[in-house]
Amino acid sequence: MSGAAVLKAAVGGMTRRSVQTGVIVLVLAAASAAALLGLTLGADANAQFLGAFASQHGADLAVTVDSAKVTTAELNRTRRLPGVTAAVGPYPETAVYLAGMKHTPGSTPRLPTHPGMTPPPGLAVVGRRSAGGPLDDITISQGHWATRPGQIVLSVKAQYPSQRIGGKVTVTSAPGRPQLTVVGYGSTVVGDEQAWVAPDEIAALRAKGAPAHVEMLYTFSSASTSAQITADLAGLRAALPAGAITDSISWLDLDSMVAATSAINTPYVVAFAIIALVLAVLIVANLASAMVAAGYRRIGVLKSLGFTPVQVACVYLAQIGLPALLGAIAGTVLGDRWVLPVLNGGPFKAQPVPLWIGLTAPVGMLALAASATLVPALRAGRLSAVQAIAAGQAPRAGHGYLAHRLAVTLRLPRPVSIGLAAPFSRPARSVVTLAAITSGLAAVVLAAGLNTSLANVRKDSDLLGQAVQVGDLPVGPSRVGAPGFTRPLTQSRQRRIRAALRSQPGTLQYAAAAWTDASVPRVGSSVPLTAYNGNVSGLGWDLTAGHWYTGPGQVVVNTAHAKTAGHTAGHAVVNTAQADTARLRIGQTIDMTIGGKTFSARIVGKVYAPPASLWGTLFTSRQTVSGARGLSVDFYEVGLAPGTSQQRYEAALSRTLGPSFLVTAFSFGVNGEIGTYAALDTSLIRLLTILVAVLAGLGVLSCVLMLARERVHDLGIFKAIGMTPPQTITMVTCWVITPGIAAAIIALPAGIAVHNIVIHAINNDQQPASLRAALLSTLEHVFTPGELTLLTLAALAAAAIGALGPAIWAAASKTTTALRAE
Amino acid sequence: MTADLNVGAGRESAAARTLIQLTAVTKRYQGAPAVNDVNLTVEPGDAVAVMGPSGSGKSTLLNLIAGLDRPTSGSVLVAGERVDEMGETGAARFRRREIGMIFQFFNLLEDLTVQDNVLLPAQLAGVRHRRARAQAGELLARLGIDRYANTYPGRLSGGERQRVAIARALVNSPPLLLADEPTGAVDTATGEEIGRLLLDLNHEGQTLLLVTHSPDLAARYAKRTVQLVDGEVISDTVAAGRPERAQEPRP
Ligand SMILES: Nc1ncnc2c1ncn2[C@@H]1O[C@H](COP(=O)(O)OP(=O)(O)OP(=O)(O)O)[C@@H](O)[C@H]1O
Ligand SMILES: [Mg+2]
Repeated sequence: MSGAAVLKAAVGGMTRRSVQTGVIVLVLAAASAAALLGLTLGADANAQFLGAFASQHGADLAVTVDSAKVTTAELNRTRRLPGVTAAVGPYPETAVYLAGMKHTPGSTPRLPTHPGMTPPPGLAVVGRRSAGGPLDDITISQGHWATRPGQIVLSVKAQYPSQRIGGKVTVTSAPGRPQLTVVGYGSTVVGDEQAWVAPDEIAALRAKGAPAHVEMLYTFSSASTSAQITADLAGLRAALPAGAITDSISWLDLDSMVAATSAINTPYVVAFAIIALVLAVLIVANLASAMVAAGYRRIGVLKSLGFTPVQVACVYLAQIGLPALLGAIAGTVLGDRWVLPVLNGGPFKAQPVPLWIGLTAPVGMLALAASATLVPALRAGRLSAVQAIAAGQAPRAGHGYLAHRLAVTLRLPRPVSIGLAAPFSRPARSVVTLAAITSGLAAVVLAAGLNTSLANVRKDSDLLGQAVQVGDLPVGPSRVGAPGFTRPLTQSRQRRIRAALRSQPGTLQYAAAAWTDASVPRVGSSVPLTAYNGNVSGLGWDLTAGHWYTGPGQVVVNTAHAKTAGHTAGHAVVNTAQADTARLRIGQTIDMTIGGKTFSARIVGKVYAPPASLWGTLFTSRQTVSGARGLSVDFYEVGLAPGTSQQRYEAALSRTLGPSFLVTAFSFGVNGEIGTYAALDTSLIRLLTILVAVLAGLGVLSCVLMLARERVHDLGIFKAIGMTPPQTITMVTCWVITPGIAAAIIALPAGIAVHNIVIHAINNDQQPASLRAALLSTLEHVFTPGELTLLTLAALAAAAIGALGPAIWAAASKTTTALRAE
Repeated sequence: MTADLNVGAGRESAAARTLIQLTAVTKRYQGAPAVNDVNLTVEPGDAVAVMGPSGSGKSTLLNLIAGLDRPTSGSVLVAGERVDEMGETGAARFRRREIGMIFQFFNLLEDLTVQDNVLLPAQLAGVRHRRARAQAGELLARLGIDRYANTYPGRLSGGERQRVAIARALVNSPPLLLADEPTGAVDTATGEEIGRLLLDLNHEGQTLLLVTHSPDLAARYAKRTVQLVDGEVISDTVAAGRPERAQEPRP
C-alpha cells in the first residue's frame, strides 16, 4: 500500500466533506492570523520600531542648529568628534504653516496628531536632495521625491489633512504664500520632520524675519541609554558655539513613545490571540473526532481493503492536515498583509514580520491542529474492521434520560424539547459547542468591557488637567511635541501676558516658566529642567507617584526612559548598566548644577511623560534654583478653572493677545499630550473581536453540522413520522440553546475576568495616577444587569443563527436518502 | 381485541372512497425508472402485499404513497388528497394524519424511550398530552409491550422493537399502514407473530400495504398480492376467499 492510496482516500474524504474542509481552512486561517498578531506584538513590542530603525539607518540624534551661529567648518568638525560614527547634513530646515491647517498664526495650531503629540507650532520642513541616507532614509510610500522647485513630499504621519498626490498646498507663513504640489508621501524613522522639499526651496518657505536653521543627523558609538545620548548631545553642544543647537530629538525618545503604546495594546492582543488558539484547537479536534465517528463504516471498509492502522490514521491526519496547511498559510499571509498594517497605524512604516514569527505562527498552528487530530486519528487506526462497521450502525443510546424527562415535564412543543435535550446525548460534541459559544461571547464581553473602560477613562480624563501655554510666536523650526517657545519673553511682553491672563475668565492659576539644563550626578550632564515661578499644582500634571512640589527645595522627575532597550549600530541590545531617572527614589536628594552653581532638592513626585527630552525631566519651583545663571521666562503655563472650555479659552486668549503670541492648548491624561502616549486602539479591538467571533461562529456551525450529519438517519425517521420542515428547523436550532445558555453563564464572568486581567496588565506603574485610577475604577462595574441580559440574548441569537444553516440543511435533506443511510 | 381502539377509523367518508389511487405513476432517479407507469387502487380495509425482487421498486412505491418522495410523472391520490402535489410541510402533516409507517430495521429513535417513541407522532401533531398518553398506553398494552414503556429501544429484541414501531405508526389512528419488509430483520417465529398482529389489525379495519419478500407471509396475511418487476406491476391477484374479507370499518 503506497502513500498515494492514503492520499487518495484522504482526498476522497475531503471532497465528500467539503464543508468541514472549508471550515478547517477558515479556522486555521483566522487562528494563524491571530497568532501572528499576538506573537508580533507579544514577542517584542518595540521590534517594529527597531526593525524600521535598522532598515532605514535611523540616526541616534537629530539636532536643529541656528545657522547664524555656526560656520560650515564648525559643523563639519562635529563629524569627527570622538564617539561620532556617522553624521549627515546640514539639511536646511524651517517651519511652515499650511492653509487648511485650521489655524492662523497667533492662534493655536489645531492639527490632527497621533496620540500624545502636541500640535506643533508649524510643520517642520527639511530640504533634502534625495530620500536616500546614508542616515535616516526616507521611505517613499506613495509618489516620488521632490526634485524640482514647487514640489513637496509630506510625511505619512504628517499632522496635516490628507492631500492627494498632485494636490496643492499653500504655505501661508511664507512671503507671497507660495503654492507647492504634493508629489509624494514618505516616512522617516527618527527625524520628526513633517515634510520635505528640494534644498533650494527652504529659503523661499522661511517666514519673514525667521532665522535660518539646519538639521544634522548623527550616530554615535554609544547611544544606548538616555545618559549616553545626553552625553553625546553635550559633546556636540561643547563643540559648537553656545546656543547654536536649538533643538534635538533622539531615537530613545521615539522608542519610549512606541513602548508606551505597546504597553497598553499588547495585553489584550495576547488575550484575544489565546482565545483564538483555544477555539481553533477545539474546533479542529471536534471536526476530527466527528469525521472519525461518522466514518466508522468507511474505516472498516478501508481496513478490509488492507489499510494498516497507521495508514488509516494517516488518512485522517491528511484529511485535516491538508486543509489545515492551506489555512495556516493563507492566515499568515493575510495577517502579514492585512492585519499588521492595521496595527501599524502608528508612527512607523510597517515592517515585514520577522521570519521566525512568520514561521512559528503557521507551523505552531499546524502542530496544534495535528495534535488535536491525533487522538481521533489514532482511535480510527486502532479500531478493528468488524468493530468499525458495527459501530457505524449502532448509535449509542441512553444518554440524557433526565434531560429528556425534564424537557417533557416542561410541556414544551415536542421539537423544542427534543432539541433542548439533544446536547445531553452527545456530551463531547456539546462541550465543544459550549466552548465555542463561550469563547466567542467572552471575546465580545472583553471587547465591550475594554470599550466601556476606555470610554470611562476618556470621560475621567476629560476632567483632568487641561492647560494652556502662552509665549512668543516661534519663528524657527521646532520639534514635534515640543511646546516650541524658543525666545525668552521680554518684561513688557510678560506683563502683557499676565494682564491678559488675569482678565481672561476661566484662568485658575498661571506660572511663568523657564527652561534650562542641569547636570545631575548619575542622571546626566544636561538634564532638561523646567522651573516654574510659583506653585503649579493645579495645572494638572499627572503623577505616577508622590506629589507635586509644594515649596522650594523639592523636585519632580519625569521617569520616561525607564526602559533601557538600546541599540548599537542598528542592532537591538538591552543595556541595563546605566543609571537613569527610573532609579531615582522619592525622598532622595539630588544635586543639580546649573551654570556652575549647585542646588539641592528632594524628589517628591514622579511623572511619566515620554519623551523626557521634549517635556523635560525635572520640574521644580524657581526658588529652588534661584540665582541660577541664564534663567529667563520662556512661557507661561496656565491652569484652567473647572468647566472652562479649553478651545474657547484658547481662542479668546489669542484674540486678546494678538498674532505675535502663540497660545497652545494641551491636556494631560489618556488622550492628552502629556502622560500617556497611547490610547487603546479601538480599531484593533474591533478587528480582534471580529476574528474571534468568526471563529466562534465556525465552531457552532461545525458542531451543529456534525450533529446533523450524525443524526441524518434520525432526522429521516422524524420526517417519516410527520415532522414538518419548520419543526425540523426548530428542533435543530434548539440544539444550541442549552449550550448557549450554559455558555452565557460561563462566559460573562470569564470575559469580565479576562478584561480585569488585561486592565491590570495595562495598568503598570508607568501610567499616570489618574489613568490608573480610571482604569481601576472600570474594574468595579463595567456592565449593568441590562447590558448583561442583552449580551446573553445576543449570544443565544448568534448561536441560533450559527445553527440555522445546518438546521435548514437538515430540513431540506431528502428523507428517503436519510433512511437509506442505514 | 379492544373494541374502543378505533384502529383504522380515520374518517367516516373514507369508508366510502378509494384509499389509494395511483395513476400512471413513474419515478425515475438516474437511468431506468425505479417505478414505471404503475396504476394501483387500494380500497379501505384492504390488505395488499407488494412483492418483487430486490431493486424492483417496492420501497420507492411506498415512499411515493407516503409523500416522502415525489413521482416523476403520474398522480398519487391518498385519502382523497393529491400527495404528489403537496409541499414538504403539507406532506408531513398529511403523514401524521393519514399514514403510519414501519420499516425492516424498525427505525426507532435510540435516545428516546419506548413510550416517547410512540408518543412522538401524536406530539408532533399537537395532540393533547393526556390523550396522547392514553392512546400510547393502550397501544403498548394491546401489543404486549407496556412493561417496556420506559426502556430504551436498544435493550429490546427485534420482535419487540417492531411492535414499538407498529405502536408508533398507529398512535395517530391513521387510515393507512405502510410496512416495508416488517419481518425482514427478525427470525421466522417472530416474523409469524408480527404477521398475525398485522392480520388482526386488518381484521379490525386497518388498511395495510405490506412489502415482503416472503410469499408465505403474503399468501397467509394478505388478500391481494401485487408483483413488481423492474418498477412495473406484472400481476395483481386477489386470493379467492382466503383470508376472509375483513369487516367493514365501524362508523
Ligand atoms: N434515493 C435514490 N436515489 C437513486 N436511486 C434510487 C434511490 N432509491 C431507490 N433507487 C433505485 O431505485 C431502484 C428501486 O429501489 P427500491 O429501494 O425501491 O427497491 P426495492 O424493491 O425496495 O429493493 P429491496 O427489496 O432491495 O429493498 C433501485 O435500482 C435503486 O437503486
Ligand atoms: Mg426496499
